[in-house]
Amino acid sequence: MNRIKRLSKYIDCLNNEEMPKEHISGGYDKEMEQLMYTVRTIKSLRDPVMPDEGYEKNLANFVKENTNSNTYRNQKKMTDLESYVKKRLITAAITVAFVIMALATVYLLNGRLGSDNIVKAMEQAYNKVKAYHGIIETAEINGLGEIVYVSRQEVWADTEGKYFVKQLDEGTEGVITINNGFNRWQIRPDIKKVYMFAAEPDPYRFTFDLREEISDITKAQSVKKIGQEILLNRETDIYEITPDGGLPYKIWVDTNTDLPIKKETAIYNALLTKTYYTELEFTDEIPAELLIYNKPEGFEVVEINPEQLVATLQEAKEIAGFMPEIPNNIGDYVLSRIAVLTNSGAIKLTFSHIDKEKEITFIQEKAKDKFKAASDAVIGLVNNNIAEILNNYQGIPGLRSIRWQQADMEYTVYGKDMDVLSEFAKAVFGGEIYLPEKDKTELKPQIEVPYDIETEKNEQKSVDAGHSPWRLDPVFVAQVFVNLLISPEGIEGEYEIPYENIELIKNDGVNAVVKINHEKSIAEYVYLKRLVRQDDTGIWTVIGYDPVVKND
Amino acid sequence: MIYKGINDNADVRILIFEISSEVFYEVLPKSYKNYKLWEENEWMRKMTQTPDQKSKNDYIESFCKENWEELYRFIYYRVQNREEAEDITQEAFEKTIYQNLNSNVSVLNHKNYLKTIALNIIRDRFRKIKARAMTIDIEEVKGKEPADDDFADLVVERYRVEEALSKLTIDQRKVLEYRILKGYSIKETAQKMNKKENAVKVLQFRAVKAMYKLMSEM
Repeated sequence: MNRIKRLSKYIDCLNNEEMPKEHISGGYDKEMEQLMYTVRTIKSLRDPVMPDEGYEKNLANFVKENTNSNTYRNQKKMTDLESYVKKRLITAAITVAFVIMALATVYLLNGRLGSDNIVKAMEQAYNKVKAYHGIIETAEINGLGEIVYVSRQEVWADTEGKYFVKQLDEGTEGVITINNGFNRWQIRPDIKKVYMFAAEPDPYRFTFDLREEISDITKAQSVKKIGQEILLNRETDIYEITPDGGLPYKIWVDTNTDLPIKKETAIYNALLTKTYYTELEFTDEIPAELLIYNKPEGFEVVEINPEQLVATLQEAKEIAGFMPEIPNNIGDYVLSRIAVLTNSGAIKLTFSHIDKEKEITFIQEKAKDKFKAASDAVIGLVNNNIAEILNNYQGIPGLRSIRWQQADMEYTVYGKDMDVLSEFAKAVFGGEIYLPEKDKTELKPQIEVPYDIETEKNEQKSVDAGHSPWRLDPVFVAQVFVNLLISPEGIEGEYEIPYENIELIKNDGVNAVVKINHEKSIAEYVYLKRLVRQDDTGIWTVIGYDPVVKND
Repeated sequence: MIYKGINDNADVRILIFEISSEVFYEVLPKSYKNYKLWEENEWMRKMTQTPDQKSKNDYIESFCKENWEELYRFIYYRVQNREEAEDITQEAFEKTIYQNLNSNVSVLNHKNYLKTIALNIIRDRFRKIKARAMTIDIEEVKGKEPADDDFADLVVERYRVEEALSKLTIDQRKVLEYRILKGYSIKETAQKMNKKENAVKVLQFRAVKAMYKLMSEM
């Protein structure tokens, strides 16, 4: 939630004479505290709202009851936080009960939702979840039916992306990974270290994250009901999911909650993986004490990409040595956070939508090297400068970015909506943006390279299962190809033509062209295409090349 | 004159306080565990052997009746919401009465004692939050609160807020008046100011920021 919205909710809470959650669970920074203090101070000009009639009598009765009870001391051990969490858990329980009743009503009126509707039902059920707590077990089973690996983890997660994940299995027992919305850290008892990361972007995903699972299912090619089973005393329907690429897998959906509780992959390379929630409960929020940063005694703190929050652009300038650019005309977005990345000296500005849960991050730094786009990037233009366009910024699916250099500076904007990012990049200097569209350009290599589509489909499945990840990198695929051209008998040892000598000059996400800058190369340009799947998970295949023209 | 008592909310501290309500902490001696055991036993003994339950109940009733309103106002001023003020008032009474019934020392100024306990509860909450949030600095904010029970300071604080309000732009002052002083919703405020709801939220955010800056400079 952005600050503007959060402050407004805080004021609403005080106006309603309710205790704001910030008073008991924290989770805010210094600026937010200052703003809340200011609100309270202004409100103190108003007369206090007195309790309802009868409070005095109830107060006396309560005190009498507690001081007369022999268990008073133990009862009072409950902290304010526990009391708050308890209240909220009760609310959550009521909410879950309500959700179950509502679903039961739908069930009775309309009959059980069919498998066609299950995806929608899962989405709706998840939308009503605020947070959940579960124990996840994962088992790897070989072709003989023997369990070769088991892991257990305790998970707390909420729909805002906060989580607490604790490993429970022997090898990694005690490893805790936490994201509280402000910071992200991992506690490693085995080496007595705490790794600190910026809260976002966050590439970490725990196994069987309900949000990710349901999101994957919504994108699947087909969802088919194949059976029913009582699993851990719960009635479940079993569905076969055929993803858009990759092998089909099964999920077990709790018929009471319409949420998946078990997943089983297909057998691949003689291994099958089962993942399931042995326990799963829904709550209003993750208990605040789990999201508190506490460095265990004797542990060393290792900061990865540390951020220093600053109050003004001027402060950022004093640390980074330059004044950041602020885009004009960015609609409903307002600057909500300013930070300096202390390792790189970059300034990181976060812009929040005034109403929706959307953010755009704008990183600015002095250019250190000549601009080189990532090999898996689509190439575009920002203000006539070559721009790297990614759909999986820092490896996070769905997080998009545009990066370019201009006048000794390097700029990166990232967020979820490419159209907004494009407008944002445009607003910085007012120049034009060119984002290539898929399949618009005909590729005509001088020499075509034949391929077998069935082989490519199998290769895609292999890559989906985690093998040969280099097939997702057009430069790497081209490198293998050009080296095989000069060594058709096979590559031994180091590649003759190194990766650095291959330049990505065009990539629209479906078609790519690379230029080979090496004297021994037979090909000057190599043409590649995503034949099986046209997104970030699709493999690249060489479809042709232009030979080097000899000027003898 | 110094009175000694036990702050049963703090785990490893003895509270020593003076009539002036000035509070400071000391770490308990090594005999803390033995002391706690004694405390538990003593409490159990007194609670189970109280000769006259009726007079104890009468005492609790009259103590609450006499003091609740002043204490509630004192707490409300700091937390600015009824739910929390009621909770803390209740907790402060429990602790104080428990202390009165179970301590070997008598407390002469009950009003100050209640307020000290209440202030400790509030500060204890803030300390816990501070431990949770890495960047927060509650102590800094706390320092700007008016001194306990000091009417003159309250008047000065009020003047400071009003003075800062008067220096805001007309729109900023209006939005704070509607939203915080009159308690209107965003929708109602938007209607009164003839603005969109989102614009009111942004205006309100900027106005509070400006207020903090102005108040800090005074």
